[in-house]
Amino acid sequence: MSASAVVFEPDEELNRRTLMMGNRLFLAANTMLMASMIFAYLFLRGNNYGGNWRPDGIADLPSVSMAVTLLLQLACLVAVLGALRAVQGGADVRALGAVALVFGLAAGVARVWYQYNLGSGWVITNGTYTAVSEMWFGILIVELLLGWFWLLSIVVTGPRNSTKAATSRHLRAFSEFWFYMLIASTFVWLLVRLV
Amino acid sequence: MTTMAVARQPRPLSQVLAQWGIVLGIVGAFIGFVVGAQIGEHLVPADANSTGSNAALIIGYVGSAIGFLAGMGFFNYPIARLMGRPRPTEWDEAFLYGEEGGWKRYFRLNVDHKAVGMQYLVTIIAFLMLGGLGAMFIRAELLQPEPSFASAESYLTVVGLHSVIMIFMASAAIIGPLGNYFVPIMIGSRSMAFPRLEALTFWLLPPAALILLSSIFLGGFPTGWTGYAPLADEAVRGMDGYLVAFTLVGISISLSGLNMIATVLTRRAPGLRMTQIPIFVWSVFVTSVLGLLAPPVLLAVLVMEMLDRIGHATFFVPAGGGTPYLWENLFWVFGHPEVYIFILPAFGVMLEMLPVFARKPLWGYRVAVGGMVGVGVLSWFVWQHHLFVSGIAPSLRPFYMFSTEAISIPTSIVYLVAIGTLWKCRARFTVPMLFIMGFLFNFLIGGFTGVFLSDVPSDFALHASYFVQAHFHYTIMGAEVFGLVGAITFYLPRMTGHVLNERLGKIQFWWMFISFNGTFLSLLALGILGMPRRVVTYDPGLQGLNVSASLFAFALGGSMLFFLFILVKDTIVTPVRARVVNVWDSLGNEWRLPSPIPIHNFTTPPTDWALPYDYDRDDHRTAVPGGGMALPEGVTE
Repeated sequence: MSASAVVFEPDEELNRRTLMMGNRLFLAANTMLMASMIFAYLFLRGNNYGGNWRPDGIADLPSVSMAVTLLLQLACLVAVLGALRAVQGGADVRALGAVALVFGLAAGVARVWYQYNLGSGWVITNGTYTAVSEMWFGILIVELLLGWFWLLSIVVTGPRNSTKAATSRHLRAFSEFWFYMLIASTFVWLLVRLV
Repeated sequence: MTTMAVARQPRPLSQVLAQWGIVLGIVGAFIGFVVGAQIGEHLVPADANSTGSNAALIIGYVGSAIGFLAGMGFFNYPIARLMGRPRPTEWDEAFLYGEEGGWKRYFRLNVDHKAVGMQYLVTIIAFLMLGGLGAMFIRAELLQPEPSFASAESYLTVVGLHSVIMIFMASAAIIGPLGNYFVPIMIGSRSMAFPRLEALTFWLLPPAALILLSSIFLGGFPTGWTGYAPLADEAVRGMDGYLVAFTLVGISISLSGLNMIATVLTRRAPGLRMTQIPIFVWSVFVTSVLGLLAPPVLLAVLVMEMLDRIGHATFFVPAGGGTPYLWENLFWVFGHPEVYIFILPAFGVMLEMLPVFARKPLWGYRVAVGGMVGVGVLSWFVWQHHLFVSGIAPSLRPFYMFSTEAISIPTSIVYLVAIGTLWKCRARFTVPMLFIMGFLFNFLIGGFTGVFLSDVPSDFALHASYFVQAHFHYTIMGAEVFGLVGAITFYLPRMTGHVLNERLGKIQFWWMFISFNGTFLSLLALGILGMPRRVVTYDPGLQGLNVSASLFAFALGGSMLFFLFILVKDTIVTPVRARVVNVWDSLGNEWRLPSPIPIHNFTTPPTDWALPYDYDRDDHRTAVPGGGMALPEGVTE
């Protein structure tokens, strides 16, 4: 007995286009999530004028530790772009990939640390300013950590069974995702800090 | 690309386990629930909850969904990638695509888009029937002006369950079965862009439905499908089931949208332009854009509600700086495009079938595409008409009144394309054609009544009444469900090789059509007379119309059971095989493949895929594409 199995030769260009399209569509959906949070933030902000928005006892958001976190994200992005360039040039991805992984993990850990060290008064029961901000930060942490696992699969375990073309397209998609996260993280922090 | 014979060999343990996917999924759901509940218990101890909500319950629900998916095998691939294991072999892929055949392949993770379409079809019919039972309960209760066998609370719970189940299923009623099954074929693709994601969108629905139903045992939820805060903040634990279930459905809709868009944009047959894809694919495409972008808004607001309930945040509690308007706005930013997620695929499948029976080309293909795109764009600018009576700033009302009225223009354009196609046609009044006509009749009433609700003064009078309910059912049931039943009759021969009895189908149509209109015309009249919705009591003077609505509703329920009977009889009990593949003599590309359709649809990418509406040409018949595939047996040229 036998069963027929259709074997398709890999179509690298099609796979690349599909992955990039899927990634960008995901980012589009993510943008709607971010837009909802912006709407919620501003809506609640408009609903709480004066001292109602930031009641006494809520500390200002720490700036230095957030700057460090964002720099770690940026360093990870630079390392990813370097790894992408390396793999496109035919070189091994692992060295720069490992650097990117370290920076990415450090950024994730730093964000979690940041979330737990926002300062006095930062609990979600303390009004809508803290609630909406903490929820937003939490969403970004989840996305960062999931993104890090994606990077792990690309640069550490992936190359064992992937072609260079596959590694290249995944790195490219990941770099777009990580760039998006960097912009979103910066924007959210500035909004919450300043508005 | 090659076709190879794979020698059958002993199944590896992973495949043996995967064959028991649904059983493992159920086991995984139980384990996930227990683990999640424990985590929730530690995060927020039960005594910290004063609203009746419970972190253990919500996280337990989430854990059960994750456990179910783990048991089904959804995490095997990403974990294998993380562990650096070899990529799946051809044998693994063949198993994933269900090439071993048999009914068991529908009860496990199967990434063949046609299998996913069938899974959707059966599930949606089952849950439509379940939701229909709720409707029968409601109408039985409303035979009397005073509560007879249901308390106000249990009545509200049934209203909520009926509406949410129907909304869940309506979201995927046409895209789920027919979109998944036919879009890749219609565009000449061998698969969806992301086959595993496609399977995931389906398998998120069973846990969502079960979680929702579990709310019955936790006191139900009093909010209906809209989940309005602050009522939701104060509701008993059954509300948590609504929140988690809706979250899962939102994720499913969004991922489905992503997959469909990526498929249409990247997987079309060589040379097939966007201006040549079937109108049904266009409707799925526009719907998918809405489906991709609208649910993230819902997810955000659902998480806020969960935080209100388990973490004592105050997003929707005025005393804590929150506002219920935040829920109303974000919910309807999702909710109104959602309505078009229901109806656009119905329009698409109706326009797809219409030329087959009108024996004329689709009149105004590009106009119809423009109309659908127009509906899709405008659907983002109308949401505040749901807030006309809840105190929005009066200065905002004119804009939303005009934007809502404006959306009737592209909708009418699509409608006129159907009328133009019917103009001077030589119609064949088969069962699908009857359902098309029923669709057009019902949607006309649904559309006209909608104009009254977009108009601020009349909306003030009608908003809280049965008029809204009747309008909504005229558009969703009158159009989408009529479109679905017609499309099932039309496409079933292509999906299963079986045809439904034409005579019984016609009886079923008239039965359904008359009872549907009897029900909802009665409700329209009740709405004009001011009967409020979602209330178990009413003015005794309205009992006559209520009895009329209930009796017609029972008949409508009977017509749906009769449809189920025809379906089961002609496909399972005494299956009637189609004598030819192309039973309707359609020019659709999906009818040009052999029966049953091969797992990967084509052996080579088709090169002559084109717009299939040339019913006015004699030379419209072309050879079956696909690199030497034989003509389907029995097809006459």
